[in-house]
Amino acid sequence: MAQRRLTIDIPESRIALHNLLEVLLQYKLISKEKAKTLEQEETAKKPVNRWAKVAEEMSTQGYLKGIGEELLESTREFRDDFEIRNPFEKSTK
Amino acid sequence: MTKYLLDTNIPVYLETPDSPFHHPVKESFKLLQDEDQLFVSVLTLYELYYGMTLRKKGGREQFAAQTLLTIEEIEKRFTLLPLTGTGAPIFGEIKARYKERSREQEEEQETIKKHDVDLILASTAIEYDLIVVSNDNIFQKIKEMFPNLQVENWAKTHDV
Repeated sequence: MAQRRLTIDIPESRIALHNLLEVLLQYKLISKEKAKTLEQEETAKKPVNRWAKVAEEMSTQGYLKGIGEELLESTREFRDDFEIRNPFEKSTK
Repeated sequence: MTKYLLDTNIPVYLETPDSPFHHPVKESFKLLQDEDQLFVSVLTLYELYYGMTLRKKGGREQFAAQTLLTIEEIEKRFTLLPLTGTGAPIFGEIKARYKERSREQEEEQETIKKHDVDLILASTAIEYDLIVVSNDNIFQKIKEMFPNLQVENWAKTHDV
């Protein structure tokens, strides 16, 4: 059976690349090894990543250890209560 | 260069090492490039201050102190985006279409009202051409109506 070649542009965003590789893996269009190598190669092009440093520092601080989920509950509560009303609409409250 | 709008849950997971979402978010940061830009909406600060004040009034001084440190960290690390007049028509369009679709699908009107902040965040992302990063499925729903809204979820596990 004749083989078909699939050509894909590597996205600029590393996260978009990661998501693309996940899809390719899902449809078995790329091997796990090849995906891993490709991702490592692309990541290695930028060895010094200021955002990795930020993530490391914030992780180490861990200011929300034990309370992060509870804090997110209150942000959800904020969103539930927040409403932009039409001033011409009669209130139902 | 890629520009991202972080929803509140993303920096919160980063500061919560015991969260199951902490590791995947941290790994996603490692995949970024130096020139990428990360933004947070001013609404993130509003809701975090609300959470902090609520607990402080309830006598949870430690909780409030930890939250305040996180707020300061967010302000220091990321670029704060204000709400602007130019985002208003985008919000109007998104909300109207969201409401219309929800009516068609017979969703409760109360449920629609709960998403104003999410819709504002989506408007901000469209206005500034940013990718929304969130662990909240609502943005995928909005994307179904507005395909030009770009969404990523960094809290998903990375197992490649």
